[in-house]
Amino acid sequence: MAQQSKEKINWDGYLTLAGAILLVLVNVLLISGKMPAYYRGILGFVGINIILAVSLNLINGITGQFSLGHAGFMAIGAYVSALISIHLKWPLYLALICGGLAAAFLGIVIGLPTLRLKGDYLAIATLGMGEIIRVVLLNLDITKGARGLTGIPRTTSIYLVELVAFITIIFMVNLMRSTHGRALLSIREDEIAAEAMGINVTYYKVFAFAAGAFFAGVAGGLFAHLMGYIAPKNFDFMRSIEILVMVVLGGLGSITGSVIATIVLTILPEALRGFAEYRMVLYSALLIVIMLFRPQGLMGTRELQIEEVRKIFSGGGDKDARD
Amino acid sequence: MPETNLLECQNLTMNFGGLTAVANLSFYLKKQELVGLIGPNGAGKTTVFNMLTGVYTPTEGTISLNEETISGLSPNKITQKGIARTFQNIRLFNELSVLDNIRIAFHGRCSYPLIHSLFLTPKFYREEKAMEDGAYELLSLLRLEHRLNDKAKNLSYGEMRRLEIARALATGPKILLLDEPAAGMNPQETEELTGLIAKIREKFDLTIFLIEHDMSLVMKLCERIMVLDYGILIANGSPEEIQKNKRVIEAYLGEEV
Amino acid sequence: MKKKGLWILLIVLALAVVVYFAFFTGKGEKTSVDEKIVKIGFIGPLTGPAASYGTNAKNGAVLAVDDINASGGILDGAKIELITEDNKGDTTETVNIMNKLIEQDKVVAIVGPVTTGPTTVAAQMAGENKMPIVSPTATGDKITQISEFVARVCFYDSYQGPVMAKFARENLGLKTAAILYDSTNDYSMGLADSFALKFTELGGEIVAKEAFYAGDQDFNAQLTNIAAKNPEAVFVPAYYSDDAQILLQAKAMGLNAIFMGGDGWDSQELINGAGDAAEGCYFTTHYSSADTSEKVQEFLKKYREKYNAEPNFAGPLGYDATLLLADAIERAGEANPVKVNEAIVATKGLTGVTGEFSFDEYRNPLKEVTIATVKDGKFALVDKVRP
Repeated sequence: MAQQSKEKINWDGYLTLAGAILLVLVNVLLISGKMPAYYRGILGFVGINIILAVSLNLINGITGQFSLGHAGFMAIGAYVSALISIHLKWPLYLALICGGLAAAFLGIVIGLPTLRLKGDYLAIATLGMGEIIRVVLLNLDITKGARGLTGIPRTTSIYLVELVAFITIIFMVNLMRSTHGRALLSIREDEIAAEAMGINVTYYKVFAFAAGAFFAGVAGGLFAHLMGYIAPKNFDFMRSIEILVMVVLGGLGSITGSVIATIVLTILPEALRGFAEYRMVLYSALLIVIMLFRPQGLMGTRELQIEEVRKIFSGGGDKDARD
Repeated sequence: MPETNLLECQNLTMNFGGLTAVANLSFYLKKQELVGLIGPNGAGKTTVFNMLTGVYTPTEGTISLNEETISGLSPNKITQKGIARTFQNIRLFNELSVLDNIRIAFHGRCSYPLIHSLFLTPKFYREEKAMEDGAYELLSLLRLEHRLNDKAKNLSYGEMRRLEIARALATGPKILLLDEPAAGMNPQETEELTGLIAKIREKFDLTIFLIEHDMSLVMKLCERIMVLDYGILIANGSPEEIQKNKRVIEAYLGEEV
Repeated sequence: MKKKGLWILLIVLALAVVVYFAFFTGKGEKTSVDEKIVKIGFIGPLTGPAASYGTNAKNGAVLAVDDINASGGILDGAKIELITEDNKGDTTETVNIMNKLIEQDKVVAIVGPVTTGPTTVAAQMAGENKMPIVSPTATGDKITQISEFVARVCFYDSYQGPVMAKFARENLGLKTAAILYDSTNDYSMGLADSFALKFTELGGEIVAKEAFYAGDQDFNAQLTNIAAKNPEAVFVPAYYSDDAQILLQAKAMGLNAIFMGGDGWDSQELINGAGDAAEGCYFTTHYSSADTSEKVQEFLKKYREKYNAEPNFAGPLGYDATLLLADAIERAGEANPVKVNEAIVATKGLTGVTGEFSFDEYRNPLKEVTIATVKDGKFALVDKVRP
């Protein structure tokens, strides 16, 4: 034990610990009602963005399919759930699930023909899909076009956002521990080899798109019921890019990375408000600096695990070679 | 013959546009046989492998495994039916660990519905444990157990070749197709590989079909050798017969008038 | 070894406590506000595609604050402090800013937001937090109906559409009109509908209705369809960049009709872009720089002096919105948001740069609409009408 004290510090462990403490602290503040509405509002957007980033990571980072249409799926979920709430007056959870399912269905319908494409071509096809969704929303009567949809009941609570974000993360963590998660990874690594190993590549690609779209749709529904007003402008190409930046900055394939990057990138523009007009310049400059020093993203493909925390307390011993 | 053929190919033809890569090829593989497929470069050997594994659908002809037609099925279905392969130009899952490479190949054998993994049911743990145990077994057989958690891309060349074989075995095949397993190996490594191939055939009751340029390995290991030239099967017989076959010598040394 | 782990745990905990007090409690408590300062918030797009409107409105608001503070401030000598925040024209940012202004900065009232989408979101929050907001330029019809804490100083879309319809029908005596609108834009759609309704009501006929998408460069297909119907007027409720292209292409095609539009036309860029083709068109707007009234000319002079630039219509509206708030705070007698809102609603006959106004039941200003034209390469005032 004595010579192990000179060992490398277990940063992952402390980072995980810090994250856990922060989470507890935030929730204590939230539940005690001490958290100002300003921070509560930001926290809500952090939660929604976490759902979006983690679900896009499933498609882009884990399965390796370059999608630029996530805002499109979000839009479908937002509009379907909002319209259900307005016209059918169903409870929120049903509206959210319907929104998610509608997005997943669209993910499959659009996914099947476009999944034959690879790399840049898939990116362009998904980009086109996102734009088509936006233009359709602009032209339908029921969506009120560019005027936007008003009168959506503002029933999204911060706790619901937290809960859904939590479910999304648990879904992803458990998925990645399973043979299904590894099947997705194998597609990213080498499609031909994956097929030769008995993996149904088409099925898993469509699955990734459908699951990613489902969560994006639910996030869209939460967003709609948080804002009370949605317009096609909320779901334009730039929105997709924003989500993509979170995923890339966090590290393609790392769920923890997506979460950390989302928190940083959602809070940053607000934290930089003091710089007035230079705010977005600083924001972009910070992005460039981070990507220069960590081109693989903040976390690369690593994950933080509770296991690491246990190691701190067991004295950092039995360090296995896990990367 | 009392036993039936495990794999039966009839009149296989593969055309790419105007080019015929394989023409009217018929052959069989018996259970537990160790057969070599040789021929000059560009003879169509890898094309035969690609047809057997479903990467290509033959333009004409049928492939049947245990009297069941498998030509036209997708590669993953064929793998699940029991034909596994390695790749000539190694195709490992580079960024994943050695263990994960093997576990992925167990996918078809120990799979459980997604819902079990989401709710971490006992079935999930049971199946995952089975996969892990199977993986450990294969890795120790192929002497890779010490590299369990290393990324595949960090392995040495010989280790990569062995991992490819381990991964193919993990799919639980009846027939193992090895595409130039000794390529790039030194004589000592080739020697070891020869012993290994014999060993796994014994252990897993396998039929092995291999493409190889290293004649010493082929002659030593194979019970039967098929020779392909310009997509046509020009010889099929025991190593001794092949060594004496005139057409084979011509194909390898060039046309003699 | 166990001890080391615990030590670090303690340090992390201590850090967390420090962060907690630094960020959450300090600002949560009531800080002693300097009695001599009344804070007003400003929300608008200072960056992004709508930045020109946001910046103009902000400049106007700053001018108004300067003027009021220079002439002794409000509430017996208190100075107004304007806290400006950029929302990039985005609804999400608007939510954060609303929370920040209300809670962190403790403003009394807010000027903004500038565009309709963010104003819709801000309006809901204004009602929930009882925080009066006055939008300088959000013209979406229904936004002031969202909450009684929302007012605006600009006219709304269906207010100016009928004015132009009436002007075309009665003053110009036109019988047929076509409409070319941007179907991706709520503002454009609102104007198009309200124009069509009034024009038909007055006995005119809409012979064609064609749509385009924001960002389109080629309007020949739509213009050809319109030309086939041979209308006397073409109503184009869009923004100046599109308008200039449309005017140029219509002229090149020889489409011989009077072009007219809404306040989106009001920019020097229209004349710069369309040149000759802009001659003789008509549009409704909030004020005309060609207006010789003292208020307008004085404002223009100050604006040019301070910013060395020519304001578009958002400038005077930003000025008027701030003026309205200052007036309301003065009449409320104290810097209390609810009382200020009551005073806003009760505003009667306040004279700003863009005219004299009172509010209708939904806190929309009842005021004159300016009709302007382009004459010899310059904007000219045609008329000021009340609908």
